[in-house]
Amino acid sequence: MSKITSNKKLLSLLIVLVIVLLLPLFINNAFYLQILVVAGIWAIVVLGLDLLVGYTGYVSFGHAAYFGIGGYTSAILVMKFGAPFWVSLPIAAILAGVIGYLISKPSFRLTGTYFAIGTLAFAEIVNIIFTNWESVTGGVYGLIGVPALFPNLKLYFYFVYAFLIIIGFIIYRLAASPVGKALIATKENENLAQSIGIDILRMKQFVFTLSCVIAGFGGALLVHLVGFASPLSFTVNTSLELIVIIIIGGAGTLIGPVFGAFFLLILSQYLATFTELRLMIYGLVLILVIKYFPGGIVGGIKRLATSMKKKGRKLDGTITSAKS
Amino acid sequence: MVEFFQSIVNGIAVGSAYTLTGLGLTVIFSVYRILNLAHGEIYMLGAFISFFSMSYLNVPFFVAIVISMIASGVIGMILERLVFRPMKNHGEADFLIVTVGLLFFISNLAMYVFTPNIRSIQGPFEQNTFNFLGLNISQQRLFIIIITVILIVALHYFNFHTKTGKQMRAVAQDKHAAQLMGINVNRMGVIAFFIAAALAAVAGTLMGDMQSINPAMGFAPLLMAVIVVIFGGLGSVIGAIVGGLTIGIVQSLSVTYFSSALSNILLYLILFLTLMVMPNGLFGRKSYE
Repeated sequence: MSKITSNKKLLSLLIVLVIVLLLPLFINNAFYLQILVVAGIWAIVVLGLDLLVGYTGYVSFGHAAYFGIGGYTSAILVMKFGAPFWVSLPIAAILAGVIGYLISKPSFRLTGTYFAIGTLAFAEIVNIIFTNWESVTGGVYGLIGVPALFPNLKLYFYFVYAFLIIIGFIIYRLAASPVGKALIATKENENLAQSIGIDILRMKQFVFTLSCVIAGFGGALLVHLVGFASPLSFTVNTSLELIVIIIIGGAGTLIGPVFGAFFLLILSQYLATFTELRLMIYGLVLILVIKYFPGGIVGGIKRLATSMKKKGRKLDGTITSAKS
Repeated sequence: MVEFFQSIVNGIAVGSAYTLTGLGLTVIFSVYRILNLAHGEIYMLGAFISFFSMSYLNVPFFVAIVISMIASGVIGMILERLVFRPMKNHGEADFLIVTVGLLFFISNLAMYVFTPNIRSIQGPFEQNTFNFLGLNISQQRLFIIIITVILIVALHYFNFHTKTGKQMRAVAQDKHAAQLMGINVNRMGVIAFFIAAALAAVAGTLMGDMQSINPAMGFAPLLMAVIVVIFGGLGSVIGAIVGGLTIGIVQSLSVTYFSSALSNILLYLILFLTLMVMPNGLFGRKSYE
């Protein structure tokens, strides 16, 4: 990538950022502000997950578990042990990461479908524990009355978006670093990557763990925002929705899933009363994106841009290149 | 002791339904090398087709099952043609995600069209039970077991004694070689989907008769069927049978003696450990890579 295009990219990103950061000044409606904050939290989570799905090609059907572990951990620490937020949030993230790391060890003996099902199995177990460990998690009803991080939504907004930017920056740098290159090599051909001296297992474990840490952190943010932690918030459906967001936004593009999070969460507010209609559209769009628009929204935009420039560069963004 | 054996008998009945659903997954896997996560939705549609043909066409239960098998089979064929065949050249993860898309689409379409109301199929079975060596077997349970045995025998006959069945096994072993031998792989895909969907429709109808039907009913049996086929070995018919019975019995026993929450944890633990220790399952072929 030449210096000029990267500067242009940076500039356009900055403009978007400034607009986003000025939004709370114009939006006084708490409802819309809350949607934006929730979208920001989901964006943080899918950023982390995209590093796994988009860069290594391993699909996790179980990230709701880490999302939930983070959420419950922080809620329990604050409510039952009176821990301050600056303790509970990092512990939530770290615990999700530790559990993710332990699970990643056996899980990465599997590939493709088997890996996805393995992650799903673990997430189901976690969800059953959330639902049934009543003395700690509050059982089916969950934990109600989780204290908020900030007295008003605007502060919440800036806090979440500050983290979105920081985490986005870290992941962007990571993806551009040799680690990112190694991950792409792994996705293209695992055996080949191994043969040129990439420790693919460690690489995959690192990415998986990182995505769990981020998911745990996001879960904690979410639980304090909405004020409750319920097992229903962290089901298979949640895991699948995370994947939907990544694919529709554009797997492996990092910025795409962030767009995807905003796009789908705002859509979901318009269709809030028609949950089934919304999920139906998700399903249809998911199939169409995989089949006809590899690379999702961002892939589509890129393709449009390249076809206008007539450069005919090959673009990535499909999540798999024949991993069988 | 009676409780123990009673629980095993119940487990065999439920396990039969899991076997039927799991067999569908296995048949599709043998042609497409993909776990069809939308399979539970066919199970749900099958139950609804039976329900509607009984309530609107006023046909008897057994005719409704046949109608449901054929109609679901046709739906399966349409899905194969519209969704699965065009995905042939995509990677495994893409394929898997498309089946998730299909799952979202079908289940929520059903939710929208049928409304989430719970309905019940009025089966012909009476409440009285057979008494066999001190064990009570309800007519429904006995019927599920018998139907499952009949369908497994039919599937075995198809696989080993018909030309199409032999062709399908050839495709399952090596798609490219089979194609070189002049076998129409696309046709095999259509047939596999028909069989899978018809089996799921039977399972859905019978379980729907035992419990109740609603548009969300497909997901739980899908997860059970996934556990069954992974435990038994993907692509293996005998694996689906042994897996289905084992999972059904384990579930029934653990619900009887512990709780349903522990039972679920146990089942997912079995799934997870199977994947870790023997990813090919009990009877799955070693992957030839």
